[in-house]
Formats: sequence, structure tokens, C-alpha cells
Amino acid sequence: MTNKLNELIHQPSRLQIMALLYVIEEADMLYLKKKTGMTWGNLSSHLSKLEEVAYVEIMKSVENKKMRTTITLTDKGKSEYDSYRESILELVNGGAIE
Amino acid sequence: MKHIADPLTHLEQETYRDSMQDGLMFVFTGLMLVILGNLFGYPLIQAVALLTIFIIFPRGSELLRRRYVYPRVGYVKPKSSNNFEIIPFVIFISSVLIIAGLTVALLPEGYRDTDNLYRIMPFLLGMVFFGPALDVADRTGQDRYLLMGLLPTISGLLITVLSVSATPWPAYRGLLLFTSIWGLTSFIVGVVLFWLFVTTHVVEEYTDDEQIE
Repeated sequence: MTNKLNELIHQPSRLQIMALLYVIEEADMLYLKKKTGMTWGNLSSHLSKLEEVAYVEIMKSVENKKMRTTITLTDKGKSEYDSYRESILELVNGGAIE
Repeated sequence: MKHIADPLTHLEQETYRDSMQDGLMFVFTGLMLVILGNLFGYPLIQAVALLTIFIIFPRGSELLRRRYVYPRVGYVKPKSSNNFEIIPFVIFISSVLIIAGLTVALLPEGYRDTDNLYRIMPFLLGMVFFGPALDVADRTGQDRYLLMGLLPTISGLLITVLSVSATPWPAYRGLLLFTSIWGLTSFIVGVVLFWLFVTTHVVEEYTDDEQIE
């Protein structure tokens, strides 16, 4: 059986973001930045790519005259991440990847 | 107890630890216990005080977090507890209550009154702590949180034994002692953790988010 790896998720930084969002309900930019060790620019750029394909939802709100950005994994994102994990496990267990 | 089995479990436990590192959970538990014990003889005042704490504390702690916690380490909302096994816990608590009832029933004639029920409350409350302790230990992956159940149970048992001894204590004394010790301990631990958190983490600026005038 062959499976295709999702290349968008396979990129290490985005994989880190996806895995983190997968185990929580939501987080803000600062939390993601601290956990992933990325720069603001890098994080922002990867999140935009994930948002474009609707894997994550980015919500902005105003708090104490400051913008607060909250990020959550969408249902589509969760399902893509699940498929990605399955593909990786299959690969590790000797399956083929296209 | 589940240990670090796969990286996602480890990551989930890490995020849960992050979400409670400010110590406010201990402050809340401490306040609840102090109210519970000190107002035990006044059910109406106790109910109003507990209700007030339940309404005010979540709002107050959220304000504190927005001001002191999120600007330092960011905001994270862990998933709701999905590994808390309700049925075994209910069976466990029911067993405790049955044992407590039997204990009261087996006491000598002169001791068998409602006062004795109050006297064994420290032990019961101590055992009740095992539920949240198991949950927190499982969700953080740190077995040391089991002490939150073990220590109150042992001290509760000790207080109960002393209070039903040859010279029984006044009915509420043991309960008052138990809730004061653990309430104040929890409150102080929470305040110290919060202070340590605030002093050891620096505020980080969002450089990509615009300030709104």
C-alpha cells in the first residue's frame, strides 16, 4: 500500500506547529513562539501558509489596546494531521510512500 | 499511571503543565478549603461564600493571567480532561462513604451520633482529594501530584483518629484544623508560585502585532 506524505505538514517548523496545536484547544502567538523557538516572522509566515489551506484558524481580538492573536487547529487540520501520522507510521513500519 | 508513551502525550502533558505553572489553581483550592472549614456551621453563609468564590475567582484569575501571565509565557488552553475516569472515581467515593457509615455504625453506643460524622469528615475530605490528584498527575505526567491526595488523606486519618479518641474533640475542631492546614498551605503555595512566576519570567513584546491607539 502506498501513501502520499502531506508536504505542507512535513516541513519541520510547520510539523512542530501542527503537533502543538493538535494537543491543545488554542494558543496565542507568544505561546507558539516560545514553544517552537521560531522568530516572529518565521512563525507568522508558517501560520499564514497553514491558514491558506484552512488547517489553522487565526482569530484576532483587541485586549488592553493590543491585538491578541489566537490560533486553533481546524477540523480539516486535525484530519490532515491524523493522515500524516498514519502515513509516517506506515513508512516506519515498512510501507511505501509515493 | 500513564507514563510518557508517545511524543504527543508528552507534548500534551507539557502544555498542561504550562497552563498551570502560575499557581492560581492552588490559590483557588486554598480559598475554597478555608471557607468550607471555617463556615461549616453556617450553611447559608458558606453557600453564599462558596458561590461568590466560584463566580468571582475565575474572572479575577483571568484578569490576573491577562495582566501577568499571558504577556510573559503566552496563552494556552489545554484540551478538556478526557482521561478522568468518572465511574471508578464515583465507585471509589461511594466506597469511602459506605466505609465511613460503617465506621460510625461500629462505634460504641455513646459515640454514635452526627458529631462523629463531622469527626470523620477530615478523612473523607482527604480521600476526596485523590480524584483531582490522580487527574492532575495523569495530565501533567508528574506523579508528585499524587501527594496532593496522599498527604491530605494521611493527615485526615490522623486528625479523625485523634478526634474520636478517648477524649473526643468538639465536633468541628478536626474539620476546622484539616481545612485550615490544607487551605492555608495550598493558598500560600499558590501565592509563592505566582510570585516566583512573575519574578522569573520577563514580559515579551508582540513585535508583529500592532498597537491600537
